[in-house]
Amino acid sequence: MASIIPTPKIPKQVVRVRNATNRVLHWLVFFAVIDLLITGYYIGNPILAYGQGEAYQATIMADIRFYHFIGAMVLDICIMLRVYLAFFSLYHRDWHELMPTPGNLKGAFGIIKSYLTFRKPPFFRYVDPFDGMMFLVLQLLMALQLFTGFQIYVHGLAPDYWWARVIHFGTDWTLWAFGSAQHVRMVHHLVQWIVVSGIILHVYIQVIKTVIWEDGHISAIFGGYKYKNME
Amino acid sequence: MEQKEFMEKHKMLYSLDRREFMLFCTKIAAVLGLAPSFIPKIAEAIEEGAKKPSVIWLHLAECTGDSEAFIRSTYPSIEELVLNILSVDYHETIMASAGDQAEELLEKVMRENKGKYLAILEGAIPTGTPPGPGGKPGGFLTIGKRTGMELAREVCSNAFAAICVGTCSCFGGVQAQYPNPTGAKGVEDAIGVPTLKIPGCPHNVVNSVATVVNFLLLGSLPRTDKYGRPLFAYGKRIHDHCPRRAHFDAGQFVEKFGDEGAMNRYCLYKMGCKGPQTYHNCSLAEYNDGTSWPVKGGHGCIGCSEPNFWDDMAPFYERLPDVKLPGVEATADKVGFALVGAAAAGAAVHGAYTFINRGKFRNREEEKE
Repeated sequence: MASIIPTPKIPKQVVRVRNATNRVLHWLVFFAVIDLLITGYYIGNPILAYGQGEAYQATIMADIRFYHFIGAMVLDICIMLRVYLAFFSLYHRDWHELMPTPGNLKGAFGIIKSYLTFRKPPFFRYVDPFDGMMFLVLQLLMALQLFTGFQIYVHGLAPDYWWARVIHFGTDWTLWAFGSAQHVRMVHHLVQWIVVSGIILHVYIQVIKTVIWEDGHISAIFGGYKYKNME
Repeated sequence: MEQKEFMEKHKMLYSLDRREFMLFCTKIAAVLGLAPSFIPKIAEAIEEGAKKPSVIWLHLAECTGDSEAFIRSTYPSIEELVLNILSVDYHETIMASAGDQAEELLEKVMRENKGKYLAILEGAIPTGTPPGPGGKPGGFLTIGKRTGMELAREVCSNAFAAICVGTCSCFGGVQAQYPNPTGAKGVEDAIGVPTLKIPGCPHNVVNSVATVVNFLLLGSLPRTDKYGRPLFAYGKRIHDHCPRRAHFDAGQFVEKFGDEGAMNRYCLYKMGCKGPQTYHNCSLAEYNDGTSWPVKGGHGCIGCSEPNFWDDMAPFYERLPDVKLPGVEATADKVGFALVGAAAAGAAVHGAYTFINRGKFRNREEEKE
């Protein structure tokens, strides 16, 4: 291990980057997304089947759909809170770091360039532009999952129920945008895979930052602090 | 009930001669304390009220499957429906007259019952122009020298209400699907007249009769959903009233046709059943006098009462439609695996290179610009 994570030769200083709310939200989203991926994959392709018994003896699909809905609610509330805190947090309002402004896009490309040339990008205290843009894209994809998911969910509700009316009002545009209820399902399924790819890249980048650049990014999401080179 | 017994039981309704009827009107006038001069007026009012609603049934671009379904009606039976409850004055398949005689009849019915008759339409309306000389818009369907568009527009604009039966007249059906060479459209889209829609391939005659009964009793048409389908029949999903729903919730699925699960009547979700997207009452009303319906017969729903079902619900034996992007046509799972594979491979290659060369560039920060 010593060769992978050597003792820092450059003196470091510790900077606080995340407060507790931010970290708790991250891990709530983490567990919700894991839950949603597993249960969602099952709903799309029910590989686990109850055998030859009577139907009343098992509720596998019903339970898994229930946990899918619970995960969706947790995720949706977390995203709404995160958006709120991006604008009104008392600790750090980071909405301007997540907007696709020309400056941020330019910074994001600069960081992609430094990844491809294997050089350490400049220090950003909170979120670097590439992570910010990736976070924005993931948030938008999650929002798309929210709308398409609720559109699929509302099919099972009585049309006169007030909650169904609210969901119809909010999500019927997806029918128009994607063509039909079947295509909404397909988009919900496809976006899941895009989110999985995003998660792989996200985890990989944090590992690179922690192991190779010794920034302590992974520590920051647990403890709230990371390192900065002292120069 | 045998037809004969039925007629015997309800003799009063059907056999009231003129003398008895006028006597009845006189009694009514006496009860109401009206002068004898009111007797003819009462008779007139009752006659007007007892008039059977006239129906014009148009065949457009279709297969007559909806007429076939219509004549399978049992309660009431078809002769009861056509002759006694409604007055089906024009129906190309079952009427006796033909040729000029039929066309004259159509004109006559439209003239005499203007604004009062029901127009029932079966089949889509082609709106494209056939190639070659003499082709005019909508010319793919020509009946009695008139195109389907002209005919439907004339009949519907003079009707009390237009009722579309079958998916073709509601949403265009099979002939309106890609590539749609005749430009076929549903009646409402083709001629712009609002219609009540009773889709299905074929429509379930129970729902049509219920709509007609609603019209006879209340003189109005039932409440509809956003596509114009009556809510009493199309307000709920097939999936939510499916006799196999318990197997869905239990996680018992047919894996392929003819296997153990199919014999045990497990859920057809994995066989591409479109019940979860389809609003219809098949699972409750069933077809042909409650005999059967697709899922009861062991085949998944194909969503035939939904708009554009042939394109949107295809492939019928898969859960999800294919992803169609320029240059890509694959299932969502294949596209997804490719994306995830690309992300993982990219991370692995980058990670391996970074790990091998870690000594060279570790901790060397770029200068801020």
